[in-house]
Amino acid sequence: MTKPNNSHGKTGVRFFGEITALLSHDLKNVLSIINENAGLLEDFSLMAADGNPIDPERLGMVAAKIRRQVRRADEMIKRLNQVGHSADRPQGAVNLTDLVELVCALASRKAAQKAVSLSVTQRSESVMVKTDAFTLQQLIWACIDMAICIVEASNTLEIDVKSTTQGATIRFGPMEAITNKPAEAWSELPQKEILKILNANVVADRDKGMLVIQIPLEMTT
Amino acid sequence: MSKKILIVDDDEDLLEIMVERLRMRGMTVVSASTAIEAFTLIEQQTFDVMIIDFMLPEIDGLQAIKMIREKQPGMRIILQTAYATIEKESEALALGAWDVVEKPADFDRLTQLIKQ
Repeated sequence: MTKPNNSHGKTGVRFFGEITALLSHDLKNVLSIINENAGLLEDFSLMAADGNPIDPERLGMVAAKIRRQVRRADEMIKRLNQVGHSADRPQGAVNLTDLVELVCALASRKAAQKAVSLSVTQRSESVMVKTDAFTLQQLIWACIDMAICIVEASNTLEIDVKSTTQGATIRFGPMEAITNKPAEAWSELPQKEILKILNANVVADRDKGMLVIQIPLEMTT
Repeated sequence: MSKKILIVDDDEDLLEIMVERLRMRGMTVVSASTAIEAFTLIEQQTFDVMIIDFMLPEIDGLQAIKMIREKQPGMRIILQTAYATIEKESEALALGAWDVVEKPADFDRLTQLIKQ
């Protein structure tokens, strides 16, 4: 594995910072909903104090809404925790589909801002690779980031994961911009440092309009 | 006379509970989940107050305020945001927002702002 340098460290911090900012924003929304439901319960108690009976069914609905928000927040925190712990080990066995789904779940809010939805497909049996999960998440994030900027609004960005003889591919598309631009135009994306660490490549499949990450079965150390 | 409110937020759960609580206070409430939906409603109806979230798909709350301000100059606009920074607040006020409220909002303060 290539020893991470300062620029890679900065990229990692930036990636983690962006995810934290997005998730904390969503968590504030969850807190708002819980706060408003608590307010609604107060409204009911004030009405009851004035002699208006409380409908038990309505109370049950409020409780269910609060519980749903708690589950939503729990999922967000679990994802953040997964990303945090992915930095614990420099290399390990990674289920690629699970990793892509995790990054997609984290990026869904960002994609929604551009009116783009994300969809993940696994095109072969469980795809396992031995790699640096934290750095690979950054590479997937960078590709999604770039793709949602060039995919047309109201479209779905499809991401598929497939094992190959040399390792695995993660494809993002379809994007017209990939078809129209020469392959060299994408060669600088994303940061070369990340690609070097992962022994990975990012190539443009112009025929299919897809951006493709190629990763080896096992990262060389 | 009851106030007519337009509330804009892309979080359906939040929208639903806010609409319910404002209606319980005798207000007429219409909701939209995007700025584009809000533009259509503003073309068709007149509102006393619009409560708009900052982080919206495609057109964010600040851009929306800028575009809406000209269409209904008499409508008061309250910007809701998860993180209110001084810069964001100043920009919103300069664009014509009546106030900026941080989430989770103090509902009593929000209703006071609406009734003012």
